[in-house]
Amino acid sequence: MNIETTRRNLLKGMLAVPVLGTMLAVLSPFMRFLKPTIKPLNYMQGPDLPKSLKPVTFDLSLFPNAFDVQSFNFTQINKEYTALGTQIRDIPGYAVKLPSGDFAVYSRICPHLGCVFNFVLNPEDVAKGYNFKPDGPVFACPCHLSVFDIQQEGKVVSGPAPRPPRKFVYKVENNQLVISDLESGGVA
Amino acid sequence: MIANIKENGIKIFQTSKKWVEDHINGIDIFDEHYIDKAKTNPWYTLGSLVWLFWMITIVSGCLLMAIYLPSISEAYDSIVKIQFEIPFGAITRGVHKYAADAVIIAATIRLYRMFIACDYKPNREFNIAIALITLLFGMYSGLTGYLLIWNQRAFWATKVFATFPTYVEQFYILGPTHVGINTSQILLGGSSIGQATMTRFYSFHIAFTLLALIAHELYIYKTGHKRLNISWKMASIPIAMVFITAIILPAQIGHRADPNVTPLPILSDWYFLALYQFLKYMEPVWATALTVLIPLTVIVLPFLDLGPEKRLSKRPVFLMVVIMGFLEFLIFSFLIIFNIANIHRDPPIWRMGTWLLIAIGVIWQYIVHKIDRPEKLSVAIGDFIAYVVCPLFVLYWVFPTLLNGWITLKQQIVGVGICMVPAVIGYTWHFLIRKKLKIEEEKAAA
Repeated sequence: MNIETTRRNLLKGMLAVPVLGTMLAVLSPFMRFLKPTIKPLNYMQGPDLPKSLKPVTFDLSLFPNAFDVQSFNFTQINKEYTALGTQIRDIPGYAVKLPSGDFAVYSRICPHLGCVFNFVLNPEDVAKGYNFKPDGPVFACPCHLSVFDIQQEGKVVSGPAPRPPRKFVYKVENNQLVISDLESGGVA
Repeated sequence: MIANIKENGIKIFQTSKKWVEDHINGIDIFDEHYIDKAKTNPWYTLGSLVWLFWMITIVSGCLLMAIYLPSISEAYDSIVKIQFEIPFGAITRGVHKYAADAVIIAATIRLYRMFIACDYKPNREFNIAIALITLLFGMYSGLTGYLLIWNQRAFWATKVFATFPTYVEQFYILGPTHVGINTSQILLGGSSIGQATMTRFYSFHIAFTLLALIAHELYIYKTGHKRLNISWKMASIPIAMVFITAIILPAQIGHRADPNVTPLPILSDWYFLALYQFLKYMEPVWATALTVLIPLTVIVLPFLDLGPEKRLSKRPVFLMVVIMGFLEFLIFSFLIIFNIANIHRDPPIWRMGTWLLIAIGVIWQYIVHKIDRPEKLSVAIGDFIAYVVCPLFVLYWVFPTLLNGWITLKQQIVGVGICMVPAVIGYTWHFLIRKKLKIEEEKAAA
């Protein structure tokens, strides 16, 4: 090989710089086309979060005993990148009365990979299906066998889930349980 | 000095240019370089079969597009209509589904053939990557395709697929960069699964095939290769097989998607089942990392197989990796289908099995190496420590330690420390003896 071809190749190589630059410049508009909520060149922008529509209320007389459970659907408005712009989505949740008199109010969407988990009252049932025997009633996800202890603030006691399920914001007032908001994160 | 650098630079440039040219000339997409071989060896028709099944999928898909409605409220109904009311609808849909399955089966067997018959030598290492990308395209089209039915399996598989990227966030030490969650939202077309997801998956389902088709036709136009290396008479057999399967076994519909009820057991299409089982065993961060690492390993493997040796018995590490991959795919799929896995008892067993298979390969490779090139005992001991003991320590201790969340940081540090001692001794020995031998050789030559 002689030097001339090297020079030509060097020039060709230098040409790659503006081409790459153009491609990079196109990347931002392309990403914004696919995700219109991104501000220009703001690649690190946080995700779009859903908004809560209206609170869910329960009468406290529905929870006479410990581990009485009510399931509910909490409505949220999600962003959607179509002509419609938004989508209304129900998030399933559980409100459980704990022996201490407090409530455990959690989204039923498993923080692992988004399945809907169940409330299992009998530890024997968990031992049969989930390879783990808990001390008391738990939330147990049938998909990948994660088990969450209700009495330890949703701690993962078995299975692959990385964190406790997401909590609802709630308060007790006028003899009613008012569930008003949901911890963000995850895919609904 | 400067002249030396220049000379070396030109030399490196020339070798790398030749390497790139050789590898570009070796590119083979659907076995079009094996026309003669395909006449006697049926395994070399697999590339053509992939292309053939792909074309069947495209044609039947074009027909289905005329009836199908890509909306979350009407998609399921339109599938029911295609299946039960439209004349020949069930056959068209069956052909589309089974031809797509056949693409994945043929592409998988073809990848195994390339490893076993060593088709990547010489200068054809990229063909493994191309074959793998073909397979991944097939799987991605399958995944986007079965969401379009909008049944339970589709909905929950999509949820798993979309939650996966969010674990990328946990790789960063510096804190969340939102790359994972933004990827997830771009895939879904919003912050939840809905109409945008369906529109997006429908467009990706078609767009990827269209772009790949254009790229392949350009390649054919430029190189003048034939698309099929079998006769149409032969090709009619697999076509007939797809039609017969579609008539005998009508494609499943399942139940309409319900975002509030997870079906039990939750299953994906057959080619993702092993990965699904993997998800039960692994911490999600590592499961995400490994899901990306498995294809990368497949791409890198042929580059690690040095030397001209093509016989499988002389490449035992590769034989063992091939066997391991196949066994784990079969066993994991079996476990999830029959739902008999125990997430606490099984992982150490299959992890040990994996390392054991690779260890057999490494030791066997070492023996083969020794028989072919007998050397002095001192060199052999150094080599044994460097190439067998150290990798085994790494395999048995470092990886399981990293993959097990329940081992503490202190234990991990101790474990890595234990690994480092034989490694340092082995490699020092290895290089010192090599250097000594070299000096002796130079003396003898002088």
